[in-house]
Amino acid sequence: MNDKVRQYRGLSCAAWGYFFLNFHFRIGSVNLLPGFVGFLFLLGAIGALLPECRNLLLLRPLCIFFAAMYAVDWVLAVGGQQIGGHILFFDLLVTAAELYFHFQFLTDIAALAKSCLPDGAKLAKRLFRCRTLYTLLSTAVAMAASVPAVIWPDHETGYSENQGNILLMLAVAGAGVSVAIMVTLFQVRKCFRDGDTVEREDCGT
Amino acid sequence: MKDFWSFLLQTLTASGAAVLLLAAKAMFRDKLSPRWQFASWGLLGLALLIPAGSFGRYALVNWPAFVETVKSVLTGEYGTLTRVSAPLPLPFFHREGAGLSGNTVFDGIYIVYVAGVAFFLMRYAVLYLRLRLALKRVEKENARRALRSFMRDGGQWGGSGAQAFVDAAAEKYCLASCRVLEAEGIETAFICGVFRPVLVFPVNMRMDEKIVLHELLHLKHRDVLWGLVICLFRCLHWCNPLLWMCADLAGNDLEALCDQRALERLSGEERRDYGCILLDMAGGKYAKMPGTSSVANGGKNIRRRITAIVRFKKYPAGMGVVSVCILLLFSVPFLAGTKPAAVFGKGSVLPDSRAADMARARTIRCTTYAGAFDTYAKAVLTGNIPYLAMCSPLGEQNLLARVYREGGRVGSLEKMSLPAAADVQSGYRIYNLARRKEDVWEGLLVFGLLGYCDGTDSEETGERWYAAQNVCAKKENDRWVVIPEGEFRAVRADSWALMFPDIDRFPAWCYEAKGEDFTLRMQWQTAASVESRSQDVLGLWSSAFEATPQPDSFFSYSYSHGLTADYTGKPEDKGHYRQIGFNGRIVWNREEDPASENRNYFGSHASGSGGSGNTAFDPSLKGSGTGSLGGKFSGGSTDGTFWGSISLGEIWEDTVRLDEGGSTTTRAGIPDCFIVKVRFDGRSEEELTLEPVEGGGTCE
Repeated sequence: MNDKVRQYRGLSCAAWGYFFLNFHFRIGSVNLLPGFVGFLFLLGAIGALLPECRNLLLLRPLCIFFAAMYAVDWVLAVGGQQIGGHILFFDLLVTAAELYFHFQFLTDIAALAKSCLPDGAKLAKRLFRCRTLYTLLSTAVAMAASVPAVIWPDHETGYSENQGNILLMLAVAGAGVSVAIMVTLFQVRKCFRDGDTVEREDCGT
Repeated sequence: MKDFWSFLLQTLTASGAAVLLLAAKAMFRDKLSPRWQFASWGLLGLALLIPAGSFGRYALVNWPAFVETVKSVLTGEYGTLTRVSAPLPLPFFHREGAGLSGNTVFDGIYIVYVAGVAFFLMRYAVLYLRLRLALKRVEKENARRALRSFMRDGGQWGGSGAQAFVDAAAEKYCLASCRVLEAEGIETAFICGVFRPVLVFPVNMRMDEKIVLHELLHLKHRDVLWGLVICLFRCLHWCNPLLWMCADLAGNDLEALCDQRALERLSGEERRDYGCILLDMAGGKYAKMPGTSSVANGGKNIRRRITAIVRFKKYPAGMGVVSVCILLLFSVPFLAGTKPAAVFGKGSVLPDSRAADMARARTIRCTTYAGAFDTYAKAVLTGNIPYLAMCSPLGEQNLLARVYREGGRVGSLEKMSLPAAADVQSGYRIYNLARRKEDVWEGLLVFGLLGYCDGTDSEETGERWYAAQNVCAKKENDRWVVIPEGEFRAVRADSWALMFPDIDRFPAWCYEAKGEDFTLRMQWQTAASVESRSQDVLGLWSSAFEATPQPDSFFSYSYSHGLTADYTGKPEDKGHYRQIGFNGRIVWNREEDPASENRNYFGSHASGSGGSGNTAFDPSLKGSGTGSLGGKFSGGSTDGTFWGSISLGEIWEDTVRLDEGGSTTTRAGIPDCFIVKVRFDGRSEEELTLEPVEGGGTCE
C-alpha cells in the first residue's frame, strides 16, 4: 500500500467518522449510526495519517476513550439510560476533551491538506474556519445548557423559552457547521485521490 | 469566614475545583501550551475568591449540604446556616449570629486556624523583609566598593559590569531592564520585589544572556506579583495539603511558562543551551522565598521543565481559541454554580439520613415568596418535614429536626393539624395574596380535604370541604420563609373552588361607592398557585400534581370579581328603574392611571349570560333595555375593562348582581380602585369610583 492510498484511506475514515458523529438515525432508543463507530473510524484515520501528522498521536488515547464511552452509552441507551448528566465533574471533563479532540484533529487534517496538496490552501482555510466555528458553537451550547437560573430564573423545571430558543439556534448553526466539516473532509479526500500530492514528512502543525 | 464551618466550606469548595483542575491538567499536560497550564489556575483562584455557597448555589459538589450535615451530626445544631461572607478569616466576636459558633471544640479549631494564617503571613513577611534588608546592605557595600574603585582609578567611573550586561541583554530582546545587584552566598539569580524590582546575581556566577532573558521576562509579566498571590492563598489555606500542592504546581507552571516565553525568543542552538543551563541547576539547592521569582525551582521541577523543553513547539495561534473555550467551560460551575435539588432521602452516605435530610433542607433557599408558599403548601399537603424546613425560619429548625427524628409528620406540629386528610392531587391555592409591607406577603392557603368534616355528603350539593390557613411569607436574610398565622380551619365551598375561585365562600377584597339611589359594591378575589402539572402539547392532558417543592418558582394568578348594586333610594322610587347598564375598569395604580377619556374601554368581546356573544357594546346604552340585548349580559377584556347591562323587570330585590366573572392575570396584589360608569334606563348617568372599604380588609 503506497502513501497515497494510505492517506486516501485515512481521510475516508475521517470523513465517515464525522458522518457517524453528526447524523443520528434512531429506531426507538437505538441509534443506527452510533457515535462509537464514528470514533472507531477516526481512530483508523489517526493510524493511517500518523506518518504525516505526528501530532495525531496525542489524540489516540482520547479517541480510544471516546469510542469506549460512546459504545457503553449506546448499550445503555437501549435500556433508556445514558452516561452523561449524572456527574457534572465527569461531564465537564468529557466536554472539554471533546472540544480539544475535534479542534486538534481538524487542525491536523487542515494542515495536512495545506502541506500535501498543491492547491490545498483553500480547503485548509475552510476547514480551519469550520473548526473554529464548531468549537465556539459547541462551547456556547455547553454553556447555555449548563448556565442555570443565574440568567434564566425559571430554568429549574426545564429550559425557559429564551434558553430553549438560544439552544435551538445554536444547535441548528452547529449542525450546519458539522455538515460543512464533513463535506470539506470528503472534498479533501477527493483531492488526495484525484490530484498529485506533495511529499512531506510531517504536516508541521 | 467567621467560624470553623465556613472555613471548611470554603476550603472544600476550593478543593473540589482543585481536583477538577488537576484532572484536566493531567489530561491536557502534553496537549495544551504552558500559557493554558498557568492560566487554568485562575479557575482555582475564582473558587478561592468567590465565597462558597453564594446565592444558595454550590460549585461542582454540594459541599454546603455536606458541611451542614457534618455540623448537625457532630454538634446537634440545626438552627444555624453556614455562610461564607468573605474568602478571608474575619475577626470573631462572642455575639450570636455574628461570630463563633459557640461550640468550644470547633471554636478552638478555628482559633488554631486563624493563628496558623497569622503565623504563615508573619513568617513570609519576615523572610521577605530580611531579604530586602540583606539586599540593602549588599547595595551599600557595592556602592562603597564602587566609590573606592572610583577613587583608585583617579576619578573614572567604571559602573557595574553586571548592570551593563543586563542592560545589553534587555536591549537585545527588547525588554525593560532593572537594577542589578551582585550578592554573595546565593545559588542562583532571581528578581526581587514588585514595585522597585531588583535583579540579584550570585557574585561568582557566569553571566548568561539566557538567564537574564528568563528573569527579565519574569519582570515584564510581573510574575513576582503572581507569586505573592499564590503565597497569600497558601497562607489562607495552610492546613489543606491539596491546595498547598496546587500552590507548588502553580509556581512550577509559572516557571514553565517563562521557559516557553524565553524559548520563543531563542532559536536553534540557543534553545539547547537554555536546556543545558537548567540541567546544571537541577542538582542545586533552592529555597522558596516570597516576593521573588527565580529561574531555579528545585531539581525535580527542573527535570520536568527540561522534558517540556524537549517537546517545545510554537503552539499555533489558533490553539488559543480552544484553550479559552475550555477555560470558559470550566468557569461556568464556579461562576454560575448549581442549585441544590429539593429532593430528600436519596444517596445519603451518613448512617443518620434524617440528620442529612434536615441539614440539606436548610441549604435549599426559597428565593421567591411564591417558592416559599409553594414549598410550605406542599410540605403540609405531603406531611414532609424537610420540605417544611426549607421554608421555615432558622429559629424553628431545631424543633423540626427533633420532630423529624422522632418520626413525626407536619400535622403533629402546632398550627399544622388538619381537620381531615389532605387531598394532595387537587393541589392548593393562595387566595388574596397581597403585599403587607416590604418583603412581607400574606394570603390564605386553601387546599382540598379528603372526607367530610361534619358527616354530610357534599357530592349532593356540589360542594366539598377545604382547609384554610392565613399564612405570611417574609424574607429572612437571603431566604424566604413562611409563618403560619393561626390554625387550619375547615371551609365548605364549591367543589371546583381550586380551579375557579369561589367568591362567595372564600374572602374577597371589597370596594364601595355610594351613588344617588344605589351603592355599588365590587368583590375582588385572587387565587395564586405555582404550575405543578405538566401538560401535553395540545394542552388536553395534564399530569398528576407534582408535590416536589419549587423554591425558585413564580405564581400564576387568576381572579374573580362580582359587582353588585344595592338600592338605597326611596321605596316608592324603586319602580322607576327598569334597566341598569354599566362599564368600568380596574385601576391598578392610581398615580399611573391614564385619563379615562383617552382610552377606549369599550371592548369588542362582549359576552354574557343573557346577551349574544361577541356583540359590540354601546357605551351610551341607548337602545338597550328590552331590545335585542334584553335580559342580562356582561363582558370583559384583558385590559381590565368590563361592561354589561341588566333588565330589572317589574319587581326586583334591593341587591342586584350586575356582573361576575374572572380570568387569569399576571399581576399580584389588589387594585387601587375601580371606576364604574352607570346608566339607568339609558337616561341618567353616574361615574363612581369604588374605593376599598375602610381598613382595606377582606369581606368574608
